[in-house]
Amino acid sequence: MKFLRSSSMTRRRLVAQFGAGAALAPFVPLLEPRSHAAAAAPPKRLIFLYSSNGMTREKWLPTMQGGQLVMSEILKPLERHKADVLVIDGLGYNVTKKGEKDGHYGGMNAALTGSPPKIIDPAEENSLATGPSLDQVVANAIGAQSRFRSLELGIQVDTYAATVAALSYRAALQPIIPENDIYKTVTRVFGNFAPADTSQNKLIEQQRLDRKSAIDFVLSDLKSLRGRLGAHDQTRLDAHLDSVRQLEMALAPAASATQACVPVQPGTKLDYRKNDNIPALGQLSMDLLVMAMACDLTRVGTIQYGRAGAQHRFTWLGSDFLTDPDNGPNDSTSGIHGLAHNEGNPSSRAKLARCHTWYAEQVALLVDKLKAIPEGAGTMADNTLVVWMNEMGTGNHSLQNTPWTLVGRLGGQFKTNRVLAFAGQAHNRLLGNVAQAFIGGDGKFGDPEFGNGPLPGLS
Amino acid sequence: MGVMSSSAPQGRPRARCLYALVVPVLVMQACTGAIPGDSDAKVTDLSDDSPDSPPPGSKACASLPVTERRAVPLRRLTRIEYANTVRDLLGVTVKDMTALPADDALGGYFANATLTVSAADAESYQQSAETAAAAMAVTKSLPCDVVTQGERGCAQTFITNFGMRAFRRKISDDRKAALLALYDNKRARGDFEGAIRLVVATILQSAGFLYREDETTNDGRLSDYSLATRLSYLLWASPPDAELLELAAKGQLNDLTVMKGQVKRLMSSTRADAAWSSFIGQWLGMPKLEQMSKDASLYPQFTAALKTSMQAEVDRFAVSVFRGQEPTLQKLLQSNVSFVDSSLAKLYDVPAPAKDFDPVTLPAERRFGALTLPGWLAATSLPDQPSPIHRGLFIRRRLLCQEVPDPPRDLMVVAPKFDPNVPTKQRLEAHRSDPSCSGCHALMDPLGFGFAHYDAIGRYRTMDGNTPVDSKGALTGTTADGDFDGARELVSQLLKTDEVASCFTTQWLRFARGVAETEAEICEIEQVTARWKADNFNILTMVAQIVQSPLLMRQGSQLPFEESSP
Repeated sequence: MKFLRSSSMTRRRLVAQFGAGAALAPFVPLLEPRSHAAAAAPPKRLIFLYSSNGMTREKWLPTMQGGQLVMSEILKPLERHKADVLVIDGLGYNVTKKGEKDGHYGGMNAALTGSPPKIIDPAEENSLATGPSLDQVVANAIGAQSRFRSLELGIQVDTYAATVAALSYRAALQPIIPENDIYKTVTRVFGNFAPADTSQNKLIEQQRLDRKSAIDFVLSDLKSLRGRLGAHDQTRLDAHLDSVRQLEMALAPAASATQACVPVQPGTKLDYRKNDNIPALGQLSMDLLVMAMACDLTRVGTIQYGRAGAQHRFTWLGSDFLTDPDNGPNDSTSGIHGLAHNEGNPSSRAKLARCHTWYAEQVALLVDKLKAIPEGAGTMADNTLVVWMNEMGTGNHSLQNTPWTLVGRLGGQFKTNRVLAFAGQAHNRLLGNVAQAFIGGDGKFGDPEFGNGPLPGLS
Repeated sequence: MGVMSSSAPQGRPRARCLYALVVPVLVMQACTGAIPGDSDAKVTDLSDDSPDSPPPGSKACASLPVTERRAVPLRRLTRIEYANTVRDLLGVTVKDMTALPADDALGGYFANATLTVSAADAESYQQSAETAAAAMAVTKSLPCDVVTQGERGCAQTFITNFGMRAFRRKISDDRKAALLALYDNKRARGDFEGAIRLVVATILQSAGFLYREDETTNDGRLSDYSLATRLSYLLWASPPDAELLELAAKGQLNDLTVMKGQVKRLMSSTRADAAWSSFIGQWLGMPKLEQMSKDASLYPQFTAALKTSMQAEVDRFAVSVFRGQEPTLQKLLQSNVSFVDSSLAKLYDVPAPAKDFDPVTLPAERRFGALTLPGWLAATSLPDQPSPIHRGLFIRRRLLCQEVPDPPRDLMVVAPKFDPNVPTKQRLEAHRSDPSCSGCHALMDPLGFGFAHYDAIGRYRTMDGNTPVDSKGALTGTTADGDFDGARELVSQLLKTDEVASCFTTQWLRFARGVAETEAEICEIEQVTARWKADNFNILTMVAQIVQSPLLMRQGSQLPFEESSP
């Protein structure tokens, strides 16, 4: 089975690009570069980068001058990628009006699914989305042959309730909780690469055979249990079956994985639960996702900074973020949720803008990483769409004017260096544009009452 | 606080708080008739009391068809259940439980009844299974002698024997044959031990091991094996032991007398402690505390170690009530004996005990049970200050089982500026004066004000900023409303209500089944409540009564998501 696609880069070039400046340990080459690379057209990839608690809109919204973007305070860090930026303003999570939840919960449920939230536990008021998310729909179409259909990376996402933790949905009521332990994910993605030391090959082959027979049994046992269940539980087992089949794909012999990509070495292990480590964890997540894509181990990924209503404290931006007695009692005065609730307060608003600017910097760094990897006649960024989004419009639980910042032209499918306004339109329409760019179709996404076709004029 | 805009809600009509105030959510008199009150009801010997006969002073509940009972969803082992199962089956300790898929608590308690197994989860299971199989002592685990029985014969015996324990039922011929073939395949490539290990690693990833399948008859009766499994995971958070499996094999567990004996046996074992403290911890919202951080400049002592201590205290406190002379709801909510280490002693401002987590008697006017444990007080606080809203909300939801709806759609909440000279209550004034807030906040804030003496990590305080603490509030919307000053009075008042006991039954049932109850089942919940109330609110009676009732011994067909799709 072939599950690796083309990549034109070589190990030496990569090390040259990543090695010196990387805050983390440089990549250590474990695989021989493939000699006959760069034959097929490079694949398209999709990355969602999520940040929480709404946006300070007037400090985010850029303007146009002479047919070019004039970056806002918050988008300033994206100046260097301006030519690839498309800002969409004015969209609302209108679909939540049909659902049973709003605020952080409803916004989180609807953001990538375009489906109404459904309360699944009246007593506790938890809600889940009632449709699959865009990343999963795209992944099913373009990543079905990938080693990892998609990767969901979390940076300190509180996982106790899928309601607020899950951005991605496999299907209605089937949230996917992102993995916070980036080190676990690094091992998962790159741990099975064949070592250069061929003395291990026999062992690896034995393990492959062991896993093959275990998976055969596991699949048949799942199927037989499925047959004894009601429809509700059957759906859950279908997801499990699907996941085990993905494990099966990973059994392809390591030999065919020979590829000019360099496994990420995570370096000194940081506490992935510690607030102050968020910047470094974010960078490592990006390195991992970009390299997994460069190796064509996956084509779709999400990087999630926190959960809906995250309370991360931006201590790395200055001592004034350590604590803030000027702010109100609504929530953590120093965390982003508390700041967002206090956005009426000018000092909070100024700080919030600094938080969002920091996120914009992270988006810019992600694009830097994509641009550092040559592909075809250009770089990986030419074939990748990065979408920076949020579960709300503003910190006060408004689901209108949600902030969407797209980076990437995707071979001319998006006409960039622009800001477009679609006041009051359902965000489903933009999800439709993205869906269309990757998998074609009519660009209708999510609940049909709201997903009535793509927004005009994006390409 | 100002309301900038508020538009009419659209879509599905929603409960408004004003109604919730007037009509308590749990109204059960219609179903139970008279509930034994403070009459001189003598302590009943409940172990001899058939759950099918009505409790003293109440009418029998109608026999429910399966369609009126909740379908307990297929549950996947939680982390703790997985670890305990691997321990019991293999004698292997799972060192890092976070390496297992995250538990979901979408029904309010960890049940893994909703989340599906993602690709990453499937890999976690694969790796955990391989690690456990690699760590097991094969020779010790064999129920046979390789020398006399031969390798293959012994492998067959092992598969039958281990399969029974791992699948928690008699292993089917199909499974047996498939596993033996797998053994043969591996044995041909390697040694005997390796082949046994692969059999084990395979079983640990399989559906029969990871899921707790409920086999039922048409009338909703659970099979004996399913009953054994439900019972042991519920009371021990562990797989059924040899005795339970043996009774199941003989088909005796559906006999109520046998069942009662087993409930008694399981509950008297110390193995029940972990399951009980896990319930209390989840009830009090400890999983939230685990992922919480506090403002380091205000609460520098709130470290990971302190969180662990708080959690340990909750566990020990829970077990001490459960195992104490009086395992009652009153003790749970009013005992001033707790278990502290040096960091908690500092927080309580009491001398540290000679040994960490020795029992300590705390000042009775400040500390009285679960709702004054620092763990709960911290979990219901914000990073920089206590939250009367969250504390009040907890009491509504988890002590009274009443619903409090979300804030109105499109309500623009603007928080008031913090001022140490303005008392909390005054700062939250808009919650009372603004009609769009007051409907809901009248349900929460006045209860939360009772805890004003406790800061965001549960320390006792007399000043709220620069003003003296004001802990006056009022209990409303219950069968025993009244004003109070301080949490101590609030708790006494709560214990006078009918709601608290029936809600506690409901909470434990939700923990037990991982899903909310149906309307029709409320009658049975009230019967159970009447029984343990009559036994002086004995919690052990409550647990035993639920386990022996159709609520746990039957499987319904009503799905958890009953509401029509939005």
